[in-house]
Amino acid sequence: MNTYRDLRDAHKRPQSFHPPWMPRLHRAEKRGVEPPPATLPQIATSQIISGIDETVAPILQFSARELTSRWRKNWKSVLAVGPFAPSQRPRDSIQFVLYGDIRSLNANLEHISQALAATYSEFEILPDVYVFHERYVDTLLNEDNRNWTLTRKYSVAIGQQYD
Amino acid sequence: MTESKIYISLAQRFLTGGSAAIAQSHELVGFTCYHAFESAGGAYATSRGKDYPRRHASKLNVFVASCNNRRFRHSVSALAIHLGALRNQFLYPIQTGSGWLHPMVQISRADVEKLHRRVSGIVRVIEREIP
Repeated sequence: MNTYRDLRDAHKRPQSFHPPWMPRLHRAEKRGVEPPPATLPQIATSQIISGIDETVAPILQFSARELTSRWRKNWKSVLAVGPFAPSQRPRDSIQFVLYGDIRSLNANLEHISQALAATYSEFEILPDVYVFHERYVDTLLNEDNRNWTLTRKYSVAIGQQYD
Repeated sequence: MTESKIYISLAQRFLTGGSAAIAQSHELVGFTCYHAFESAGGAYATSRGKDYPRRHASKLNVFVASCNNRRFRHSVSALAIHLGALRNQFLYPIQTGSGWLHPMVQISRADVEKLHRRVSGIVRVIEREIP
């Protein structure tokens, strides 16, 4: 449990952020893999990505449509993480990051899983969802956290508040 | 006992274990529900002559693919995403930007009981489907 001192001093400690996709993104950066455009419309018109994974782009577009129709007001953004970064084995999942004003983890997971179920049924590649509190993401941004910066650099926003 | 019957038995045992854990450590039931669901996938896939892989994501993908054209496919897809994500989150303390949260405060006992009922429903459907 949080003690008073934990809570009081939490803002003084750097936040740790070590999600499972970091080794893949570090490899991509080391190999000079070009980051994707930050949003889907840019991907549709982009000529700059070479070797784009043709199986991934339709999944992102399908997911974005489903999310738009079921968007919750408390969600700030949904990112597809490193969808075009090369993987060492055949792709069996795409990692998605949802962040926003998350009060109930379960309620938000239930909502996003319903929104992405049609995509999953269609493409049979697991949307692997991670949920973060908006305040945590803000802290990572303020600290200029290297792993968050890299995650954002190699991600595509498939849903955003005020879309 | 066939491979698929063993898988369905595993699913039922995870559910029974989960029921027993609700009163003590309700958040653990998210984990037992995940394993019950995964085992139900093994039962269904192997009953249809498919190999069931070892990697978590691949297992869920094979389960969803096995449900092609079945009326419960959407429920299986949604539950797979939900339980997979819970499994990711419930193994670690959760950072909020101003402190840490225990996973147990992120899911209520009522939520867990609802999840347990949904997975039990899928396990019952799969049990009826396998020969």
